[in-house]
Amino acid sequence: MKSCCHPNAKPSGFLFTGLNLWKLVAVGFLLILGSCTKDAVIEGPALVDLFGDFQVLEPVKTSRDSVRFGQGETVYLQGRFNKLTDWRVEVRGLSSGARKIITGKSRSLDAVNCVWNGSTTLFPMFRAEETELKLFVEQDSLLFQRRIKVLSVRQPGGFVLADFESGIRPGWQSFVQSGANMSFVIRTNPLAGQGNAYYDMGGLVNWDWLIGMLEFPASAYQAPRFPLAANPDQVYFNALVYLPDSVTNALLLIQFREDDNLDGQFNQSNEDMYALQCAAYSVNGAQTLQRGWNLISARYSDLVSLVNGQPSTPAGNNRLEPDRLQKVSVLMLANPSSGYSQLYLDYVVFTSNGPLQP
Amino acid sequence: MLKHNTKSKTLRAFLALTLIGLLVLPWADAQVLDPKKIRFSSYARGLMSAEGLREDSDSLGKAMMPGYALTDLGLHILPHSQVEIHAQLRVRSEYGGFWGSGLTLDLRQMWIRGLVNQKLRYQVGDLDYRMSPFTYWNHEEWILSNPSLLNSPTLGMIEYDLFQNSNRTRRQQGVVLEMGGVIDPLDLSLHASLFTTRVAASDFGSTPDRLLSGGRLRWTTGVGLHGKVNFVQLYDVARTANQPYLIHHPVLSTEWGLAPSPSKGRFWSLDAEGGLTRLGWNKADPGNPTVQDRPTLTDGFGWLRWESPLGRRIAGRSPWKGSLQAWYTGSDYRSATAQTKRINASRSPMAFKRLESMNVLRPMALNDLYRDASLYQTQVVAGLMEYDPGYGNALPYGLATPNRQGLGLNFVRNTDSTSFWNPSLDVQFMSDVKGQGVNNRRMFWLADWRNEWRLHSLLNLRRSWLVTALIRLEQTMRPDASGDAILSDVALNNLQASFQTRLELGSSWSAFAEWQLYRSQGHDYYAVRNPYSEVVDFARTDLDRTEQWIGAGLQYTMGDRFEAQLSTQQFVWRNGTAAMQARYPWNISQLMLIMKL
Repeated sequence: MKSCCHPNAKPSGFLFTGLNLWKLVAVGFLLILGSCTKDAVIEGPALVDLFGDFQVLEPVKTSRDSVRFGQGETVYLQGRFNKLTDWRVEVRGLSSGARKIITGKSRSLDAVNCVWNGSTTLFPMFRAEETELKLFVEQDSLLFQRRIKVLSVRQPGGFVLADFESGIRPGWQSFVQSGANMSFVIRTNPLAGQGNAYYDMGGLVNWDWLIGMLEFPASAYQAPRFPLAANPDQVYFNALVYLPDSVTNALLLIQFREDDNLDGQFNQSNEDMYALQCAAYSVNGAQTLQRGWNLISARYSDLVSLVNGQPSTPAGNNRLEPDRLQKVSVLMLANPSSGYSQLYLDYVVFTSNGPLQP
Repeated sequence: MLKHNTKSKTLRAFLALTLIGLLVLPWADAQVLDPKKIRFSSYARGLMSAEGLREDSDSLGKAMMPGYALTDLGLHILPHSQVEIHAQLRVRSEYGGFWGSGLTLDLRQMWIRGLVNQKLRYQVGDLDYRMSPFTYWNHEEWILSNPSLLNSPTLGMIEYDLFQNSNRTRRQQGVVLEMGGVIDPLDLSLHASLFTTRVAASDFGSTPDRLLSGGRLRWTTGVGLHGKVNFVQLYDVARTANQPYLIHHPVLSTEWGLAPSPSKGRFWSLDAEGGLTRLGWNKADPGNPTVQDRPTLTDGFGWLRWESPLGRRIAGRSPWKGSLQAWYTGSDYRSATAQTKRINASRSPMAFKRLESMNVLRPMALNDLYRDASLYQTQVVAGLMEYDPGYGNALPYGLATPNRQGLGLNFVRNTDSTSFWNPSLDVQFMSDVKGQGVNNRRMFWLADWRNEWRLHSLLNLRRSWLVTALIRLEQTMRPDASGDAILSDVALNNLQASFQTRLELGSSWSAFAEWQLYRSQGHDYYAVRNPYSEVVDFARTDLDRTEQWIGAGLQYTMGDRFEAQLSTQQFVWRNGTAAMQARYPWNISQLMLIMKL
């Protein structure tokens, strides 16, 4: 073996003395080519998701055929596709007409991404009834259909002021103008937004904006104030409001009176009153109602003080304090020159940490 | 009020005198300057062509006779033995203007360069710079890298106009400093350069100031070992626009080379490079929680080449030279100054803009690429530019194409004027590093064979007669992945073939003829990228395109200072995909003159 230190050895003249250069070159090439098997992942979206034909790898089925949402049960779909698929589940109440829509994009359906907990997307809310569930994939192609029996409905939670199922609660106060065709009554029929009953507010009053009102004082619930959290960011007011097809002039004003000094009374001159509006037409700061049932949800901290519909400074301590709320008033209004007006009210409820999930 | 007016007039007079002084002083200096310290350079060319394009469905077709003459007047001033100032004005006259209405005057380039204390070299203004093919390099487009007797002159004009020279440098504007020295005890020679250029100017709205800075340290030892450290960074300057993000794109590499002296009997050389890149968008206001983070791409690259003379040496010279190279570029490897393409595939040609039969914009054709400078990109672009897979699918960004691992083999016969032929063969094989939308990876073959026969040597002719043939093939393949729900196979073939001949008629005259064919057929899935250079979609691209030239001409040359060429050719373009079925011949007869002084 020839040593680099041998007196007859040729001076190599470069730094890789003693190494076989060609082996070094070969190792270098191998190192670069060694990356050939490094990666198994792909770059970009999978081609099959973009261009592949849709196939069902595992047939779709439901987790149950009857469900008690009131006991916390849920229904979900199971199935597996060959590609990332846009899908839509529609559940329709066969007697209520309620609808639940769940959409997603996935390769499989399971208890995480395709579960129905009894909630509603399009009102009215589901009742104990038979429903029809349909699964659509790939641009409205019906893939699966099944009937599900709802044995008990979901209890959304929160403090319910009124659902009108048991009539007018003792302690509620109402005022109705002596106009024409006045209809401040509870009606029981399938049109109800929740359950079977709702409150019908309608009439023609051509001398005043106010047609009628219904008030929910805390005393009607055997409490000086409503049992709500003190943080206005955590409290949400919710109500279902129905706008009939022919009505274009309705304005609903909901007032929140606080007992700032905790004397058990509301004094308009030195205590806060906040408000929320919704209307059949466009009003500054008010939610515009659509035909049919609407879910009105407002965070308590977003309520404003209004005088004749205009923002104003509250008369009291100017603090939004839901734990000092003493009375909620629902005022049915309309321009006196605009003729007959009507709205339905149902399921008035306070929820915590988020709007009502019907 | 009167007092105010008087003051105002005085001020204006003062300003006017100052302005006149500023204007006159340099002129006066120039007047007394030694004429030897002023040097002129000039380039001029004129082109006139008669062109006609006729679609199959259009019996009459369209014609035009464009032409222009231009001259570049360069002025070199040497106010000091170690300072040179250069400015070049371009005067261009478009035929068809009326009394100068088609005349334009531009400052084409300007720079000042010099030496400080015999040690530091600087250049301010326009500058050309390059590093390595992976860091800072102006790659030649594969589709345009073949010689063409008919089209090389017009392509050369575009390259001259856009400063795209054979050195693969990029033209930038800024400042570069260079210095060097030798460390005697170590026999180590060092050379360093630093630069900063401005890629985009702020509008104080949506476009921030974008700068390109970097440097290179080159070292050489007396034993044939040399190396380089390259660093380049593209970045936005904060507070120059209302942009929520600022680009941050550094590229770092080291090169190593070993080239023993031929006097020691070693003729081979070994070169290698490796580096890392990062392309990211940093928040302009890091404390703003409403601005979402943007993706950051980081990756690496490596390259190794061995080159050596081949065959038995005759008179100390080998007839063949061979090289073997291997390289790897990660899928997230980004290098703006190496990946900015010359061809901007998103642009439309200026001539014959629409295919009237289909009422659509005429797609870019090879004939446009040889003639239309507006189809080229000059500004450095962050991310990956679009490209036409038919005009180079294997290496659309040259060696800087990301997501490739490859092997290349090159054989070239050394030019020998006594030999009757001069062939070369270049074969490269590569594949994706990451599969594009599927696990299967695409494979690419590139083959380039060309030969020049010197028939005058074979036939003992007095005048030179050259025949050149060239075949280039680019193949993209991907087998269908078994078990996939779709056919994910890829098969795209690009073929280029040409046959050229040139016959010398006299000491200055020669005649030439050429036939060239370019064909693209097959399909691939083209990666669609978002503004952050990530693949977000694949668009299936079907190609069935044929482009063909046939033409002949006469050339007159006077040294290397004057060249005149009269030629006529027919270019036929045909597209046969389902999306577009069209064909047109485009006839061109042109006269061009090029003069250099």
